[in-house]
Amino acid sequence: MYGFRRWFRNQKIAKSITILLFLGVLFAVGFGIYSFFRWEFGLIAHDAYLRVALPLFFYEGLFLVVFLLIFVSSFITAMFALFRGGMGNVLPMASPRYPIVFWQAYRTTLFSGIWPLAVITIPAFLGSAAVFPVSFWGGALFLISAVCLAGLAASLAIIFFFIAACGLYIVAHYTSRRIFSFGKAVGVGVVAIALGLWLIARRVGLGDVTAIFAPVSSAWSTSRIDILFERFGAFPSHLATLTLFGAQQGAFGVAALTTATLVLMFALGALGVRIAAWGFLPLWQIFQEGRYEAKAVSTATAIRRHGKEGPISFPRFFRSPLGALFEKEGIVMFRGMKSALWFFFLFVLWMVQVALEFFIRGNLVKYGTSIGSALAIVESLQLATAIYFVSAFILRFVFPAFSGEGRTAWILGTAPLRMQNVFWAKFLFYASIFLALGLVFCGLNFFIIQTAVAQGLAFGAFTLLIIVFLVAFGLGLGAIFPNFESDDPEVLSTSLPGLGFIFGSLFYGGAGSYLFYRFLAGTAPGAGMALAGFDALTVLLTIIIFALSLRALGTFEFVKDY
Amino acid sequence: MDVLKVESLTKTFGATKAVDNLSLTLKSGEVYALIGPNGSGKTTLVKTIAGLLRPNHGHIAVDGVDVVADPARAKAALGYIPDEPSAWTGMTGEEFLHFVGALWGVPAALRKERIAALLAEFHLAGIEKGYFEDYSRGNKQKFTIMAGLLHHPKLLLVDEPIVGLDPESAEIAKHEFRRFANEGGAVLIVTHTLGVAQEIADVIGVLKGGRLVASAPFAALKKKAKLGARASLGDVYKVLA
Repeated sequence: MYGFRRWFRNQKIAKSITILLFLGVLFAVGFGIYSFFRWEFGLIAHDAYLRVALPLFFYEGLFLVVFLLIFVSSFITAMFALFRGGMGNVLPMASPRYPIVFWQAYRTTLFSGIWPLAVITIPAFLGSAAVFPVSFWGGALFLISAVCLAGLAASLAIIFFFIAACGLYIVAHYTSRRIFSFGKAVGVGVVAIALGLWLIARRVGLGDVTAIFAPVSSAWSTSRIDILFERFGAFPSHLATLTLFGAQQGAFGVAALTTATLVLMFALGALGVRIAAWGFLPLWQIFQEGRYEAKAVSTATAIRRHGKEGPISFPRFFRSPLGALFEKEGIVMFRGMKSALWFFFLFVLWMVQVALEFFIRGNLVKYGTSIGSALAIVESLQLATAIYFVSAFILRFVFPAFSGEGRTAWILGTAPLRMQNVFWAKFLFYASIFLALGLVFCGLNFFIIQTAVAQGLAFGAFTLLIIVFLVAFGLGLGAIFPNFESDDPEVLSTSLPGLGFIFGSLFYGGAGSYLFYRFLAGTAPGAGMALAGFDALTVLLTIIIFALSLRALGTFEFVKDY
Repeated sequence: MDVLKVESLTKTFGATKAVDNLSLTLKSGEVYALIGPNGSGKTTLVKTIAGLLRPNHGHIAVDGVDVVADPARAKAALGYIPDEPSAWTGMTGEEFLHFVGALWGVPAALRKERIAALLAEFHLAGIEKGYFEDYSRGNKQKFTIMAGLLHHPKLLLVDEPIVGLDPESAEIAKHEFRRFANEGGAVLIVTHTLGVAQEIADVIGVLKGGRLVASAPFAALKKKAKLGARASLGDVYKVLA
């Protein structure tokens, strides 16, 4: 609370707007999820056969996805907060009270893990409860379960990393190979997570979703739920599902029991973290080697890591200033382990979403159903998802591109360059990456949905136009409102301009997807004209953002807010 | 020939005047040391000359080119060495030097040649493939000094030149700055290390509250402070700053 009061001491109007915008973004996202679930459950409630099993399937899927999201994001957050965070500099001085650093990182991880609850789980729960009522106490039990589930995921992520690091240490010790480092420990963790996700996908059996709901005999009047329990029962998220399901079915005892089990599991997870805390200082010390080591060892480490020639150099564009700037962006984005991991994480999430469409299509084809009737909805949802993911990428990587130059301003700011050239180099770099991702996405989308070529091209052109706009929007906002008080993308993205970007991209993405849906559905008169107008507006807005950004950069100062 | 000409420069941050109506001139072959207490505006002055900050009033010309009117051409003639050496995470020392050289338009072959010479001179050959963030502070500082010298600027702006350097490296750095001036360049050094200023500067300026309260060769400064011939720069500083 003291920290908040200190933060709120000056620039109160701007910070009040920031808080309101932040709450506005949370509300907008939450309301979208709430409305979607309410609509979806409203439809399901009318189907006597599916009204029990299908909501249960949604709960299982949603809570499992949320659990895994929190686990993976906690893994990244905790590792860098513990071993590469700013608090690490305090650690040598704080000894013997070093556990403060560990618990601070754990607290940060827990809080950032619980965020998805506010934005995803609670609105989904409220949407569901609007159709399938839950008593006050049932709702309270579910909230406790959900918090414990999030806490458990965050705790497991830390325990998992320590186990991976210990495993690697043992292998290194017994094989006498110099393979024990922070990067390799993270690498082992990432590979294990990827393997785990693949095993989970196999167990859940996404390949044939409809089989879950298929009637075994004509005597069945409702769909089976035992098959769901069989597939999802091994995951902690199943307990949160049972809490909600029990609360909705009036089985308060079941809800209380599953909640108690989750509380116990969370407590055990926290105990595991407590045990891991004992290994923190030795691990931290080893992982710092390479950061504080003497010069000769430093180079030896780099050469040992990367072979005789040192690290793999990016294609040498160093021939011109613009090329050098372009290459620098590549180094910053892909050599920084944290950036690379976040990029990989978001990319995998996006591809998982695309893969889900693939499975759904496979299911529809298998049971002889055509996607034709739902084409407009499916493609518009795909577009909305693509916009969401590209916006998430841009918020993490593009928006902070200028503010992140605070520490290195002495190079760019004193170079014989116009800052406008720096803007173009950054724009070209990020636009190239996201256009390439966009092309992959459009190709996959075309392959999955198998639309007519003209329609596929229209979808592709529209997506790529939106990507160009979003990159310009994110980069431009970051250039017009630079913030040199922090170079942490997570802090920058919750500043006033960052929230402005979230709000703007949500609104823009929503409007674009809706207009595209109307265009594809072909029922509303003038839908084509409206979409063309949206395209024209996008081009116009892009030009305006370029103009404003370049003008702002003409008087750009690398200076903190005095 | 005036390599640097600052006229009536004022730089403010909100209500605070960091640099107040300051004028100074640096000629080719000259080393100018700027001393003064914390918060006297030394770093702000250097950053404004380097183009990191924009002046509120006054003019700055580097090699005859106005820094505000034609920043790219003016900056091409200057090298800047900051007090806090830093580069991008994941960049090796070698990449950092190539990157800076490329920004200043030094051709690749010439860059390679100069980098090899500088690495040898600063006893850093063999470590250039290590990551910049892994270097000790002193080595980072040496890499930034090399980056400042790489494109053979006409004016070198140096903010706290020897912080973190070992005695041998400090000697190399001082020798480099002096040699750079002797070869026709001009050096503006901002420092709290009075020994460095006394040892290598032709002219010493004393900054106080954003104003240049004295600017003269060391001997003249002693006279101005009404001190004897055996007085050190520390004694002068106590009187003037």
